Amino acid sequence: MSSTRILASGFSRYGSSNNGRSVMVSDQHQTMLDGFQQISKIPSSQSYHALVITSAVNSLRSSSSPVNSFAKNGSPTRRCIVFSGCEIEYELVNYHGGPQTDVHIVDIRFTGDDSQHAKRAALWRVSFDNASQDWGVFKGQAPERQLKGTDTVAGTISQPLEIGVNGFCDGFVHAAEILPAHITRGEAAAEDALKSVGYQLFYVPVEKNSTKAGWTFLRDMGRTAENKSNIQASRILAGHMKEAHDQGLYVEWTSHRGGSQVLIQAMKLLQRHRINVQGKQKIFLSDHTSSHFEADQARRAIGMDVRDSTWYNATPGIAQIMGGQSFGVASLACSIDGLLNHTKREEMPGKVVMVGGGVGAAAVATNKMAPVVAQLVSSFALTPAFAWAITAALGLSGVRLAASSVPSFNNKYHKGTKDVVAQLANKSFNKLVPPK
Amino acid sequence: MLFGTRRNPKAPSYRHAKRIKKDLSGTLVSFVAPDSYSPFAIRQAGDEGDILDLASIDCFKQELAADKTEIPGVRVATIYTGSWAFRGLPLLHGYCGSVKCHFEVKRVDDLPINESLFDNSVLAQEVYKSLELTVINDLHEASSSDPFDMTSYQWPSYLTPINCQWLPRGDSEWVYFEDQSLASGPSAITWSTAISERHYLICNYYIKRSALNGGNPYRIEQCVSRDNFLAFVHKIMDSFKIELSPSAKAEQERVRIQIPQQSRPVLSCSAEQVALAKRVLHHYSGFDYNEKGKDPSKVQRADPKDVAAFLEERIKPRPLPGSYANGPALNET
Repeated sequence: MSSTRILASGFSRYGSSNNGRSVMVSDQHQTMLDGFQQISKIPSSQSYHALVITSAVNSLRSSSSPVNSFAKNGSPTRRCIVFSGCEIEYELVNYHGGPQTDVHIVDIRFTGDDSQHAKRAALWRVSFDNASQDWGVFKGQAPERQLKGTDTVAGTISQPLEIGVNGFCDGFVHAAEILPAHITRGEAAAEDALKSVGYQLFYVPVEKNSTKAGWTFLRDMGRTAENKSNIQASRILAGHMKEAHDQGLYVEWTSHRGGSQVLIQAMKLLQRHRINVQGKQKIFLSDHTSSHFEADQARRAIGMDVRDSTWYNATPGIAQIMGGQSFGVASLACSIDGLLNHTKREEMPGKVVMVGGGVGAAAVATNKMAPVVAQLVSSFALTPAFAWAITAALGLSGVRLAASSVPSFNNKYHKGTKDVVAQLANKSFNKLVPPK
Repeated sequence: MLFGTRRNPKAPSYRHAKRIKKDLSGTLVSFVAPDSYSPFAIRQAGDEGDILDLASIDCFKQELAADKTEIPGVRVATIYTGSWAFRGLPLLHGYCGSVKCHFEVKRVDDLPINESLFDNSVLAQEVYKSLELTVINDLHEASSSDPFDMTSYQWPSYLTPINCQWLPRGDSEWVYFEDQSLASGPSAITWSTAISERHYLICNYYIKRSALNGGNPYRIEQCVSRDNFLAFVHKIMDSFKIELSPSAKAEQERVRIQIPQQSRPVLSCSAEQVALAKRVLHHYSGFDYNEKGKDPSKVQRADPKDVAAFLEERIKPRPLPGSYANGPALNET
């Protein structure tokens, strides 16, 4: 049957076609892929590109479109798949009108050099150098082609892989230095443990423009992964999440600042493909700039581990309040959403007490809360009185808001919302009363 | 200086600096340094003990070479670590880099019986041996831009030793040198001096600079100047006082009588090292860097000529105040 198919001119079948869809390539690509097939057998970091490309082409054989692929504009059949090391553009061709389609590779673009120079989002291994007391001593290593367990961390339930997703920072080296504090949630003992095993950094390139930098969250405020590099990054990240899922690895994703956008978008891509990670992965958002309500819905939709009581931590700065689509509502919306949609009937009363209890300390509600209340009432069908009471608990002091918006203050992980104020206070205290 | 700038970040204040004292089996070492402060790490550095027994074998651990194997005959003990952040304009820049220090005592077990570390040429030899095994041999597999290039090169991560000289600080003579990192990672400054026949003190300072568009060792030079970092390191070193124990002092006297005219051999890197370093530094000059007006998703490397000129300038000797006249090169003695 297959031999009678009419092949598009210049295309021939690549590799075995027994499993999944057939992959068709032009003669030129055929020669190139054969070359890579040979190179990929040599164990060396030089075969990085080769391994990326061979596994990428093979991934196209699966029956559904991969999570890191997207449809090109204007064509229903032209798709592009994105990895950190390459991009492949392909056409889905259906000869017989049946469900089976063939894949025609139109173009293969290498981006390995760009990702090796941190110009493109990629996954890196970061270790701690004892001599220089320094994180992220990168010495010409290539980014990871595939997410997998390391020599020190297996990715099992007791030893989950720790992966950080950076937001705004000075660059790669700075990101590698900032993230450990957030991955370990500001715990000294956990940081010491992390030093001995290292972690992986999903580095999202930052905008290198000093006037825009640090304030891009205002532009992207509330939107999920709007800018081009973030979209690309989230596709690559979604690919890695899927890889972890396929291998059954336990992973903890920690995002810092704008990294939350990439992380949320990646989860949504997985959601679109109806992937359920069966509680093996979980997320933590630190100083996130996009709504954690959105994150909560996405993580529940793809079956992430949601049992941790804290899964986000932020000093409510401008970025978090504005970028987080009115931050206060997000945390409330999460608990209500958790209550209404994700709580078993018999646990309901207890949970209600918890939500209510957190709110019980309510301050005075102001008129500014009106739109928020309206939103709550409409999205969750609550009584307006209840909505008013809970929004009142979200009073934020002006000092805290201003202080924690300053990038130089929120490099470090803040354990409580008052940490920033405490830091300011400590600074002035040290000036007045010198430590002995 | 009230505020730092991105170009010249402000060093930590010395106002609350205190003298830190270490007792190494009767040899008293002390220096003045401000309290450690790291903007990222949760645990602060500087919690080492004040007393170290040089004779005890338990206090020392085997020194590891670049390939993680043990170096035979060399043991090492940490006596002090510190970490200080440098800041630019308040609120705008915040963190611009840091100096981290790591002071160690190295113990040489396999020294010939008639040699003593108080002999400068023996000290220089030992320092170089250790440096060669740890830093000069710190190689990494080169990455190539061409996906079909399968040649496997080993590239150095650092160019060292450069600007080597002998300096007197607090009654002792120190051998001083710097290194230039080529791929990434901090640049180091190393000071070493003998404190007994078999032990020498080695003070490593790691200078790390951070800027928005300076992701690699070549580009960071154009963003943040080294001057304030160096000045801070020198300030700590200027405050060093070493009071040798009676037995060490007797040994020092003995060597002084035996070799009245001590030579001060300097360490240097070879021409091959420099040539390779130019290539490596150029390769990474596009790492995490965007040139204005160019496509930010493509790698933009510097002009090889500029990189070469920078390294040529970098390896020129720059005598520090009070340095001794240059002695012969180590390999020529």
